[in-house]
Amino acid sequence: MDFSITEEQRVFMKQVVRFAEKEIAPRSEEFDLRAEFDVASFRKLGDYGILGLHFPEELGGSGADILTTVMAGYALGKAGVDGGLLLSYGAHTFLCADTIYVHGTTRQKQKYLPKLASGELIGCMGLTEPSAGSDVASLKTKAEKKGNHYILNGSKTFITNSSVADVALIYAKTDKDKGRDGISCFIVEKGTPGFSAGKPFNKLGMRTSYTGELFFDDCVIPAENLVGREGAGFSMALQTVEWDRSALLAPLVGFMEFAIKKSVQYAKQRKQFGRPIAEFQAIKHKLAEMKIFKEAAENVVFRTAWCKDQGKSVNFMEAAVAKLFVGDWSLSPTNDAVMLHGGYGYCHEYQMERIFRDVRVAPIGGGTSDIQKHVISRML
Amino acid sequence: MNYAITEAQQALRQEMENALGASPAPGLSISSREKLLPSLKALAETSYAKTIVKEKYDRISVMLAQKSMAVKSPSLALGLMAGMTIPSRLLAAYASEELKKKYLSPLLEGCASAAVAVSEAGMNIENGSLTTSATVAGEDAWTLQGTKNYVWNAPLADFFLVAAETEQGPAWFLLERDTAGLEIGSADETLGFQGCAMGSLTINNCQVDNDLVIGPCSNRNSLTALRKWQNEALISIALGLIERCYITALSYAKQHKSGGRPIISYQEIGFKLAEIMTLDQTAQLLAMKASWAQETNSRDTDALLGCAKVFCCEAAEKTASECLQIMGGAGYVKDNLVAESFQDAKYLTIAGVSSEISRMMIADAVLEMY
Ligand SMILES: Cc1cc2nc3c(=O)[nH]c(=O)nc-3n(C[C@H](O)[C@H](O)[C@H](O)COP(=O)(O)OP(=O)(O)OC[C@H]3O[C@@H](n4cnc5c(N)ncnc54)[C@H](O)[C@@H]3O)c2cc1C
Ligand SMILES: Cc1cc2nc3c(=O)[nH]c(=O)nc-3n(C[C@H](O)[C@H](O)[C@H](O)COP(=O)(O)OP(=O)(O)OC[C@H]3O[C@@H](n4cnc5c(N)ncnc54)[C@H](O)[C@@H]3O)c2cc1C
Repeated sequence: MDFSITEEQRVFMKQVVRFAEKEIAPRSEEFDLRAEFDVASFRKLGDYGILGLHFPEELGGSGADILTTVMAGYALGKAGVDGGLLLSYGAHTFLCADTIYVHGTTRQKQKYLPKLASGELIGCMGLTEPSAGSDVASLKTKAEKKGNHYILNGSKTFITNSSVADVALIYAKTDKDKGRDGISCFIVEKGTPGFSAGKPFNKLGMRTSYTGELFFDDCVIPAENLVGREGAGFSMALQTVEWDRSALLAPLVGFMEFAIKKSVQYAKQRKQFGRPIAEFQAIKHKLAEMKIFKEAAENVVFRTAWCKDQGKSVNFMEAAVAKLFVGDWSLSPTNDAVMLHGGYGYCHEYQMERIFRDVRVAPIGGGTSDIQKHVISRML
Repeated sequence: MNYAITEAQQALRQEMENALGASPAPGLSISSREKLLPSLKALAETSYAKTIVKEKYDRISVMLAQKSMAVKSPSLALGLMAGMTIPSRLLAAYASEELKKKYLSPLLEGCASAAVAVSEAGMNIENGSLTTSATVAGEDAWTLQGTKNYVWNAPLADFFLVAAETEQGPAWFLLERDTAGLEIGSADETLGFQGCAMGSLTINNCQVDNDLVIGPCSNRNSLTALRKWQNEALISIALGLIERCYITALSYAKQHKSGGRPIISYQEIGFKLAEIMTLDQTAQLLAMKASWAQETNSRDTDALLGCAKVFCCEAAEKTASECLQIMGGAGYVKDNLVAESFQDAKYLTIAGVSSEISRMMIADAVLEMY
């Protein structure tokens, strides 16, 4: 074991923090209040190279390793960028683009990846359905092959970037009798007749990312839009949700560092009973809780990324541990960050309120904590 | 970065397991000289002894090796660390060459054991100065006076390293067992670590020659270093304790049936084990990172060790409790491994730097960062 990071990684994280603090984080408050996707910031992430960091240069990326890529997510969180934008980035880059990168044909990769990496196109991934959440293999959307086409019928829900996506990666049954082995993955482009998106849901946190339904009503797509083999969709989805359990968690760890910084500044300046509240043990206890969580969480998240860099494409155990730990253990220190700010913690301006709402999704999205426990307990 | 344990890092642990045995041994006791000495000897034959007194060494190897002692028996691990590791480190870092020759060598060779006496009733060394004190008695001697309670290995130690205040700052006094005026109190019974000997020291005007004194020193660095070594020891015991509870409860949950099914197939049990496994892995990584950081100059080093101390020791407590729950009645009967660990675990959050004081120190470090 060796926990040292390279000088390159250190400098890179610093640069990302500086860039995001200057260019992106100042807009978070306003967009969060309006529950609006900040497309300009999204494109800036593309211009800065973040959206395609781990793709090769010829496909519009920078060829970074996974660990460095995950560090970028951490750095964006640390800079105080809101969770919604980072969820949009995560769904776009890891749940959509990466699957095309790993499983797509050369033509699919060349057609979509450079534009996804730059942010010119926005991607989404549709797995969850109204009656298939945790039990995702029971999904009902179907894709029937007719000549050189597939015809899609069904609906998806809780899809990040639903209404803004240009490219949707959709999991559907090509063989309804086969359970998980009957699932396949398709690219559906915006504007395809029979494909539409609902109005985004009004939700507790992650408000700057749109979450909503997708509808397929005799939606005809070319057969060449199949990604990977027919019937291989489920294993691809498992690989995809592993990103939910590593890269998408990194910003949450970053938020904790941001919350620590803000809380320290607040606690030093806020006076009660004639002294800064930083002098009260109960306040220090909260700071310690935040720091302990951050240090513990960072390792489990970075480890999953590191495993991927070692050439292991699926790391169920490591990923589930990271997801469960961040999901369940993040809530209490986030609550501490709110409490430390007193009444101001409950108000939007002080940002802890937003982080509190954003972090609440951690044990839900990407497989709930129960599902992680289910996955882990079956492997023991 | 490398999250895999390297072969070199495994080597010391393997040596340790060969020397002391690897499988968990409930009820193991080293609370008498006859029982302690063979373990000290076995330990001395590994490269552990040579490693821990080096100025620089791979901390992760040592953490893993110490953990393996605690998987076998937390009492064994604590007894050996209190009687050998910690006094050896103290001597290696601060004693004169003559003292090292006379006292450190037998420790490293496994022929003697020692005890370190710092804590006192009614004070915590993080906050106050010690009440045990020494005054100059003539040209080359001191007179030492005070009481130390809770000293691991006191009933068995061949010599003691006693911390006391002098006018010039804190110093360490090396007292042989038969020093006139030194009274070794009978052991109090403890809730856990019942396989280790514990006792108190009453020091009544002991005359100590100058050449048996380390210090005095105007700073408190040696006390701070001692707290770190204690913390590292306790963290490694926590990791071992977690592992022995976890493997015991896991295998029980796979075998024991209720309603015709192994209890692990019930979510109430299976999910608990999943949580414990998650705590285990998270604790390990944090402990390894914190020990790795001790060899770097990062400004986060102390805070990280504090985080690992709090997290791992509290995780051990939780793990022991949940594993006992999983075992049901079989866990509650006396002398089984999980019940023993449950009793041991509480000590980990109290000793070294307690969870409360650790949190305050972590917060102080964080407050300095921004
Ligand atoms: C903000 C947000 C963004 C999302 N983005 C996407 C996206 O981009 N693409 C996508 O496909 N999906 C997305 N999701 C969906 C997400 O993956 C699902 O919400 C999640 O998998 C849970 O499914 P569900 O909501 O249907 O809950 P259900 O599966 O109905 O679960 C309800 C409750 O039952 C528990 N439960 C279920 N099964 C078990 C079991 N076997 N044992 C014990 N407890 C169980 C769950 O833990 C939960 O507490 C998003 C969700 C949110 C909130
Ligand atoms: C079985 C046993 C063996 C031991 N062996 C040794 C040994 O070999 N050598 C040795 O030197 N020591 C030994 N110790 C001592 C051990 O290190 C101390 O018990 C430990 O440091 C805690 O000190 P204390 O017991 O005096 O508790 P106190 O310091 O009196 O603390 C009581 C409680 O108050 C909390 N507290 C205290 N001060 C503060 C504060 N400022 N802010 C917030 N909370 C606070 C503590 O965290 C704790 O919860 C041993 C202890 C035991 C129980």
